[in-house]
Amino acid sequence: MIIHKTVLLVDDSPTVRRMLDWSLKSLGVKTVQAADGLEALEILRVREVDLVIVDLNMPRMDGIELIRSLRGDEKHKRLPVILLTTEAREEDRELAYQAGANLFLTKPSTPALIRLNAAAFLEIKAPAQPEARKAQP
Amino acid sequence: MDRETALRELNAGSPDLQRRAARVLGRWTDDQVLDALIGALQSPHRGIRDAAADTLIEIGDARTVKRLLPLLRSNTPAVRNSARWLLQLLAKAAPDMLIDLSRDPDLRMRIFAANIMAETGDHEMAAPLMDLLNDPDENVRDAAVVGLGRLGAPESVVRLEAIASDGGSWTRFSAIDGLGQIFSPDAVRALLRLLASAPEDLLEPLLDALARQRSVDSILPLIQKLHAAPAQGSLIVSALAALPPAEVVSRASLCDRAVITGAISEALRQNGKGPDVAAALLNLLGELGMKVDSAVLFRLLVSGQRVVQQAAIRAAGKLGQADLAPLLHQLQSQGDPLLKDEIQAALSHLGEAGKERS
Repeated sequence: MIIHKTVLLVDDSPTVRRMLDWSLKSLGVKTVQAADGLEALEILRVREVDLVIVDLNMPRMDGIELIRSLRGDEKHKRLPVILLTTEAREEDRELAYQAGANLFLTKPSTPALIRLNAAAFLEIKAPAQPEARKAQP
Repeated sequence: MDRETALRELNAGSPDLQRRAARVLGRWTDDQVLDALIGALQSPHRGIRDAAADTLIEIGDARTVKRLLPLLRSNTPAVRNSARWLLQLLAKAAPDMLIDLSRDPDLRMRIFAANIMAETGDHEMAAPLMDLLNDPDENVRDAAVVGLGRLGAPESVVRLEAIASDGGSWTRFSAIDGLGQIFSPDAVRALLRLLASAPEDLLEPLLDALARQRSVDSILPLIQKLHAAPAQGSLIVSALAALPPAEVVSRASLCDRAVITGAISEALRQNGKGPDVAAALLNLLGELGMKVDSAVLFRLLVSGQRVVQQAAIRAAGKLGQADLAPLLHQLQSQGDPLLKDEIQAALSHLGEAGKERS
């Protein structure tokens, strides 16, 4: 199943980007990746994107700065943004929503939860898929 | 600009003057200058923060590291991220302070410690990262797992394999991904053990990790997995295609070659692969030497993606797919210089060199 929607994954950790890519694969969406907010803005200048999943703590430009920049730009004012972070403090949650995040998710998340939320913002149906089970001996 | 003027302008000048002052102050490295630069790192202006950061890197001693650590607790993400980035570059000047940070009661500091240790690229940091694998918080443990992979620490293979076998799916993924970055025979063996018992939903990260290892030791287990799980054939052959094609062919029986060829055809038909993976699959296909349905190659020959077209042309030639000769002639007539040599070689394979397009 191929859905013609694109998700931009913004995280300085290649492992997290691969994890998100893997989590979203069964939705059939296309993903593009950026290592920080500045790289994300470069991509958004030339590509149409339907959803952004962004980390909070990143070098050069963090997630909050990126969201503020998007909300100040007519083209991306309503682009859905999920902020995914290990920072679970209320201050950070408030900061994220004030900046214009649509959803604040804390790590560790699960592929299913990421898929479910991404599908909701993309207005597509998330296929049921079991989470990683314990390996069989 | 003298020291006093630079300090004054850094504290109260226009943004341009503050930026210039932050750069000039690198000539003096006393504590007052350091404190002023740390203050400038918290400026709302990116240009001033960047200039202060550049100068702090130039100074880069243990006193700098000591002053940067408290900024990780800032409520402003930009400030703590600047500090984190600088500490990644400067931590070698004071590794003990970083180890102390990894024992901080605030779990956010322990996550920062793990992130910074990983990005130093310093193998000395593997031991404190291994200690963090026992942390009570899952995010700290996950940051340590990611860090050990990032450092390529072979001493962590046993622990990462255990984590990859049990626990939450997030950390299991990180452990598998980490094993894919530790280039040692032990890590390959661990991944192969995990492959033998992996649940279906972790198969893809495992195969990605094995593909990154590019170890010929994984060829036979991958072929066995292909026989055992044909429904996952498309994923498995993508991992096989990351390995040297001649090595794959030399280890595969005739029956294996037929099964691999079938799985590659199916993977190429699904059209979900990026151009590099598609090209690798085509290279392996050509090496296997078993003809395929020309329709599979036809679509790729006209895909417009040069790297895929080149690989498809080579495969068509090697496999002797004579029914594709007219299309190769047609492509040749278009005169694309990037495809010219491949087309000529393929037509030679097909005994078509020198013939005009009919």
